[in-house]
Amino acid sequence: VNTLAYVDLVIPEAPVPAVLPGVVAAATQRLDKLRFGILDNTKGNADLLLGMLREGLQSALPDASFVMLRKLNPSLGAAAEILDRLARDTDMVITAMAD
Amino acid sequence: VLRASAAAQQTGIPTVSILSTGFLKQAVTVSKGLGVNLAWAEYPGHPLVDSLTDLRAKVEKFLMPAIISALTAPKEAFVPAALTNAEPEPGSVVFSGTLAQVQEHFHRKLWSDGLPVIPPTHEAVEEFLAFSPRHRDDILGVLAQEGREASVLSVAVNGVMAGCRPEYMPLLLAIVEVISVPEFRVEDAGSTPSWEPLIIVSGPIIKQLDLNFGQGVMKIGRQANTSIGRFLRLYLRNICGYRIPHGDGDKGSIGLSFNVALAEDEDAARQLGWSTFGADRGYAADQNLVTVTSVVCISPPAYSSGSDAISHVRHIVEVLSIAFSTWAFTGLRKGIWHPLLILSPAVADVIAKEWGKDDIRQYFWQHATLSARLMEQYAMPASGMPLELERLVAEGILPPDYTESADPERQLRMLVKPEHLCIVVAGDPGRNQSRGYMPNHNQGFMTSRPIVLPAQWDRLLAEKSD
Repeated sequence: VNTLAYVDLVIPEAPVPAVLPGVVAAATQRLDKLRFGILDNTKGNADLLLGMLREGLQSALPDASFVMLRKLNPSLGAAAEILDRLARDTDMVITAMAD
Repeated sequence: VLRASAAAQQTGIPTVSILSTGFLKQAVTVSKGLGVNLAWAEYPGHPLVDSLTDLRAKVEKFLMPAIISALTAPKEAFVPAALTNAEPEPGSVVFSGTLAQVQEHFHRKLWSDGLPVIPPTHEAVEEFLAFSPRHRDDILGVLAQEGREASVLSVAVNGVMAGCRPEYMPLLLAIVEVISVPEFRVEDAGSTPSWEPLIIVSGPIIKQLDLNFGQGVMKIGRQANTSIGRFLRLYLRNICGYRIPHGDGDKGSIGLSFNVALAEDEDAARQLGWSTFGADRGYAADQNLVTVTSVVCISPPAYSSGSDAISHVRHIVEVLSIAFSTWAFTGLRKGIWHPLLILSPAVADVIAKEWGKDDIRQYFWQHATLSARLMEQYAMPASGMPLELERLVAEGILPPDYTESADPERQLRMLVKPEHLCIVVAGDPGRNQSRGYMPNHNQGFMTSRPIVLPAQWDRLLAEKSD
């Protein structure tokens, strides 16, 4: 390449698929008796943090219920049974934690 | 965390993921790659170094309001601006300028690894594509974590930038095929232990591309080894989105530099009557092959001496097992990991007079051990959870003898099976030095793919060397 000449460069990246719209706001319709799924990925102190969070949410939303689940290992994906349970028995999932 | 959230959200269940501050930027990248608009709440700081009082205070002050807000806020509130940026078309011209301006632009756009790049002009990219057995628009996979399409064209562009030669193209394509398969787990390439991929090349292509397999084999200095290793690191940046600050997506806490590509001294292995590494991977000895594995730790040099096999193997296994001891629990949790021994041809020559490669594997399996007490002790600070040997045995991940005794000083084998040890003969044939390379358990899991050559390979190669 001539250091003084102009060159045209090809982009080193490639396309990304479009991002799907979020669905979080759908939960607002069931705030009265919301069923929370709490998923602990076993990262350090995630269990403590989620336990405290559950206490706080129970105080703020007395009619809410909770399904507490735990992955076996933070570096493995959630088992199909866990995802099935969340899909079946909860309205809202809280996961912790990325650290 | 975000992948689990995305899976739940795709079934229609809203989610909020809790992230410590250092992971917020990566969350944007992962969310973009998953193609799902995810909500998250920030835990300020790092929970593993907070007291219980601090933990509770942060839950009440930050997480509770954030989660209540996530329940009630309109969904638009959760679309980070970075997710809505328009993407240029593949192959489009993104910059025109002089060489100095090119370098500046590529640094500013975070498309460089910090070193100068060869400008990927249309002409240079076309030269690479001439060596491709596949069409420029073919997609080899969609790669985490940004979810970009790993096209043949993108391989050529990044190959040019890395300083590769056009004839490396078939090998570069095979590398990307390897990292595209699910078992490789490229989605974990930005994890905090910070592993680096290591490319291992097998077959006649080693000599055709002038790869170094002798003295200084793992040092920067030979064009093929260096630029091919650099290519993969650039590809992980530009297509997968693993960038350290000023970028994001790569959460490696301290990290390693990229590995140059490793090639085996296959002639030396054959002269000993040993199988080549490529044959050990299950392919024909003359098959051109690419294998990629993660490397999270490299042993010190193992200088072994003596005229009998045991003298060498005993010392090598001692050096490797000490180097691997504090991280071996990660492999036990998965029941499989593939440590790599780069064995000096000079040392292999002595060993081969008495032992085969399987004898080395057997010795490593029996003697690379650590007490159960230390194995448990090392597991806690890194992961915050016990090793759970009983569960691993109950689930068949580990064999029963790992829990046959309750003695904390009982010795646990670091490798579950002897055949998990991989051996490559390479390095200085005039020196008695070997080294061990440790993968990050099943992240960057050792995976191989044949290299597919284009029609007219010999003619193309001859033209290039003229």
